Amino acid sequence: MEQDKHIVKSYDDEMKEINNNILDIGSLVENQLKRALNALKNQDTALAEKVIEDDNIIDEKFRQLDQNLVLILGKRQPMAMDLRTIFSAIKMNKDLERLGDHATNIAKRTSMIDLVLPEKPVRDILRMGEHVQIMIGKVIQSFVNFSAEEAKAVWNMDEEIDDEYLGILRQLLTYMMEEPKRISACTNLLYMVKDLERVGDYVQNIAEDIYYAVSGEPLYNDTPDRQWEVIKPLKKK
Amino acid sequence: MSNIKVSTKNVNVHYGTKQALHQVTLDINEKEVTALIGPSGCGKSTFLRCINRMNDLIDICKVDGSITVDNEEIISDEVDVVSLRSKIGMVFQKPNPFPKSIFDNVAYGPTIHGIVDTKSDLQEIVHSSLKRAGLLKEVKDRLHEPGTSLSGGQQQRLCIARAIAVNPDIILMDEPCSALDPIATATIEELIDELKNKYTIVIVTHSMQQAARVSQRTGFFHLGELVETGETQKIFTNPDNEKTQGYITGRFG
Ligand SMILES: Nc1ncnc2c1ncn2[C@@H]1O[C@H](COP(=O)(O)OP(=O)(O)OP(=O)(O)O)[C@@H](O)[C@H]1O
Ligand SMILES: [Mg+2]
Repeated sequence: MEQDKHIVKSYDDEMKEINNNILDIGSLVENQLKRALNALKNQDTALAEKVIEDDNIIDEKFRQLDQNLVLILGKRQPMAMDLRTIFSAIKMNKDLERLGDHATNIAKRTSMIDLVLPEKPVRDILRMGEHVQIMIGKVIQSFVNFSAEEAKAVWNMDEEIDDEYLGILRQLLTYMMEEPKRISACTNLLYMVKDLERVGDYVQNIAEDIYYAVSGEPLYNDTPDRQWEVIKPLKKK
Repeated sequence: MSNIKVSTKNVNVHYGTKQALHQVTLDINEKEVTALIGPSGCGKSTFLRCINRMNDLIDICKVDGSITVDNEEIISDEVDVVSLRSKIGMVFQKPNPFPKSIFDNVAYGPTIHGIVDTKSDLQEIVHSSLKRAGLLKEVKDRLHEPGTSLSGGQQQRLCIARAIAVNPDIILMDEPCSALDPIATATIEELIDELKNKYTIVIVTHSMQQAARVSQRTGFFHLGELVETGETQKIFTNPDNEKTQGYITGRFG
């Protein structure tokens, strides 16, 4: 963070520690999602199991950081930029932990599926997964650089993710209607694509937190939830 | 919209040849709490003393510029300083009870300003003032002991009781809680909250957290200049000025 140092050195150390913890959890979560998608790609049940197991590591780190954040609030009573940073870190920590849960969900589905999966949607899900991973990488980068502009750029990326999500959702619904045998496999994929879409939302939240910490201004999400555009017309038929 | 109770324009203060305040321009709203913060020696107390012309008592001190209270200029030889001070109560950085009894400390103001007619009225004012300052419980059985026999924190609350006993319009507080424990501090803050419904309050504090808790507006002084003023909420979450940010986050002193 491009900031003068606190007069109290241990305060600086604590803030640095919190930064490092966020980065640590961020890269763990990033890696979890990467491995979950690899497991899906290669139908690698063993890898999926490993991802599920490793969620504990994230949960433990989440709890530790959560506690440290409460301590620093009580001890330092941070103000201005420090206050915004701590407040944002509390939210980012929670969002990263939830993001990890969604990566685990994808792994859980993968370990459950022993069906032949339709190729095209799987390919599209993996591509969407790559895009989501890029978003995660960039949001972490914007935190490292403490850059409001970078955070906002990541925030804007979520719209494409939502588009991809709607596209795959349509595709899966069509597959299911055409061939009811595939319903079971497609339902699993549907859950996964939903998980990815949620990951995008969490990354967007994190971008909002970083933007606020840096600039002091809120960045609100007021875009409508468009998934209903796909589901509503189906109901009418 | 709030009315402006005190307005200063381009106020300069010199102690001899040394300039302590530079072109300070600040509006203080009626029935609001304005907090003044800033590093030691930046001129907060000097500024506070301008408002009730207390700087007159310091020979080498020269004040120029304009200060109005209720739209009347007070930096002028024609001003009736005694009547000005009767509507401005002050609580100082160091508790300074008179060398008199606890009762007389509080009774002094109402008596000399002729606020009360009867002894029981006076008693009533002394009791209610001590009560509002959060001190009554501790001293009700020793009202005739000297004020100086109290602890530092109790003395400060005695001074607050003394200031509010004359029912002023404006209360100036110079670090009123610097000698108090957290409970006594909370009592004073609660009192400030209540007082602001009737009075205009200006408080100097070294605690940004205290400013955040009690004030609506905050001014940040640095080296005799008023660097930034604004809504307290804005100052402590997102100040505009880098010096303000540096000071309140503990990055320079
Ligand atoms: N009576 C005086 N005679 C000469 N110089 C004075 C006098 N009172 C204050 N000063 C000078 O004026 C400047 C401002 O002092 P002031 O007491 O207003 O600061 P302050 O912000 O209240 O500091 P603190 O937080 O330590 O109370 C300082 O440099 C101080 O030395
Ligand atoms: Mg002072």
